[in-house]
Amino acid sequence: MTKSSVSKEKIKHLAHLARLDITEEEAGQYAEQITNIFHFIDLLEGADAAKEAEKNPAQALRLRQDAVFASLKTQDVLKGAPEAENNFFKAPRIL
Amino acid sequence: MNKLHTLTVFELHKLLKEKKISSVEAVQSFLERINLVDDKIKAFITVTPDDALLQAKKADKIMTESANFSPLCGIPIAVKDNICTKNIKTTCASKVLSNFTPIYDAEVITRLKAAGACILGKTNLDEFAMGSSTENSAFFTTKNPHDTAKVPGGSSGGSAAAVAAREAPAALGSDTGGSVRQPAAFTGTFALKPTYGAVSRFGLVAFASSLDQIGPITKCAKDAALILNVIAGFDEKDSTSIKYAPPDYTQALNKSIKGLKIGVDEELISEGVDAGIKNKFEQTKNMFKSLGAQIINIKLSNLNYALASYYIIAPAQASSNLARYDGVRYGLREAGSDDVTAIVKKTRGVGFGDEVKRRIIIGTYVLSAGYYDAYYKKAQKLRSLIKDAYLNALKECDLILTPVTPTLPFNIGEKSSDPLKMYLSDLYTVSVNLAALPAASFCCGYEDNLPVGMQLIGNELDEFTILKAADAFENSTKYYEELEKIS
Repeated sequence: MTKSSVSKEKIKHLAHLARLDITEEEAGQYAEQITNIFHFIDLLEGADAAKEAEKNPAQALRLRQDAVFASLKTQDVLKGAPEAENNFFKAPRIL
Repeated sequence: MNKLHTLTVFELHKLLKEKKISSVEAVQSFLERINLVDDKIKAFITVTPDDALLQAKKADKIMTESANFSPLCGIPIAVKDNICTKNIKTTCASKVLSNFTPIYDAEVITRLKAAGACILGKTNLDEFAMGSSTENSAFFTTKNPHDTAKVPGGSSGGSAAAVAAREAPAALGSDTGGSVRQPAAFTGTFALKPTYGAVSRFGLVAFASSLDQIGPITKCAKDAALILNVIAGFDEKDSTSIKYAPPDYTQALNKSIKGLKIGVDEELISEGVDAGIKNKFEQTKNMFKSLGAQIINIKLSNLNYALASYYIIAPAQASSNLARYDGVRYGLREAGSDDVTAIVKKTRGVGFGDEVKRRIIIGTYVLSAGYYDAYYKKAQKLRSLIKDAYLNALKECDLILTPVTPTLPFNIGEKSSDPLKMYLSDLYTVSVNLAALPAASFCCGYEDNLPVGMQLIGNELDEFTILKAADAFENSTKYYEELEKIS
């Protein structure tokens, strides 16, 4: 667990993993705030979780039948697209 | 201006049934009220007068043609802006969705419309429901109608303020860690967070998928029962929806609570709680006793562990749920680069506010390799233990009584620069979401002219007993009448 602070470099790395642009100032601010939050969260170290329940606290997920049914209309879906072309979402090149 | 905006849903329904008023008149009354006060309160992001009046005309037609219609027929309702409404902007109070218009209705909206309800508009919230004051909205802060220097609570602050200021007789909010209960406590209104899975999450913009629930915010428990009757129940489209037969929640109203066992853990109320809240807690226990209930001592688990677990689990799930906002299929896309990573990072950097970014970063951290076991897995284990502690306590009693908040409503700006301080104010509410149990906040009085809420926690799918107890309390105290003092 984190006893020491969460560094600015760590924050920048996490922001990159989460695909978030943050400024130097934000990185510094978040480092301080998140360090405080983790000092609080770290009190969980004192909690005895050894006696965990066997079952998952969430219910078993129900799956639907693998059957075809009418879905959303393409032209409706594309109404909200930042960019669209020929019935496709236009997105930046990935490869 | 007529006084229709001062009435409860129950009262409006009675007048509609007796044909003393029309739905159009009722809706117009609330629209006028919104025009009069919302510049000051700022509860609404979007008001939809044309749609509301169209729905009102349809409702009036239904009510002329048939004597049998839903109690929500013709009733105006406000909806938190993280619940999808077809063809009506749904922004989640975020720049990332400031121009997003859903092409479908959330299931709760479909059910409200089928009952004939009229949507007045979309209310303000903390961005993506992350916050406890509505100060994290990307657009503006909603004011507490009792004192406009104070926060209305959050994240459903807009919905709670709208009901308190009588801009809507009822509203929908969502609750992940207290977001209907805490604003209800801060505004002197009533709110219910149903059992996880009792109300469909289809069309609720996801924050933490194992914690989120939609719930009503109303002036009183009676109105919440009417709304729950319409929105509760299994939905095929929500894979976490419970298959159960909801009772008629109005059967819980106007009943005696003699012999009802209410559990209290006095140790929870010792530290860090305002004297005013402690005072009201004692008075509430005494009122329940005078109504014939028994107060039983119980032992609950350490709430601080629950709070720490919540602030691991919720951000972790949020970091996953908010990954979809990448500027590709909907929402904001920032230009200025050909590189996909740069576009996505810039979009999310510009589009999300500080609190959202903080939670995504925390969530990413606790789910990352090397930390997952120590944080997320451990928090989930503790979750089971927290739930067991509640269920064990509920073997000795029918309901559990706790405060909703450790303090009275705080000033705008007071906690916004210290996220941890803000998180600590969620102490009494988050454990209920972790346990997946139902709970309500009801107004138990005023301290220093500010409302105080108390929380009743029930057994799984036992919203009925919560409503019964809260209604009995309200019938004796009528604190919702204090809302009339708000000009």
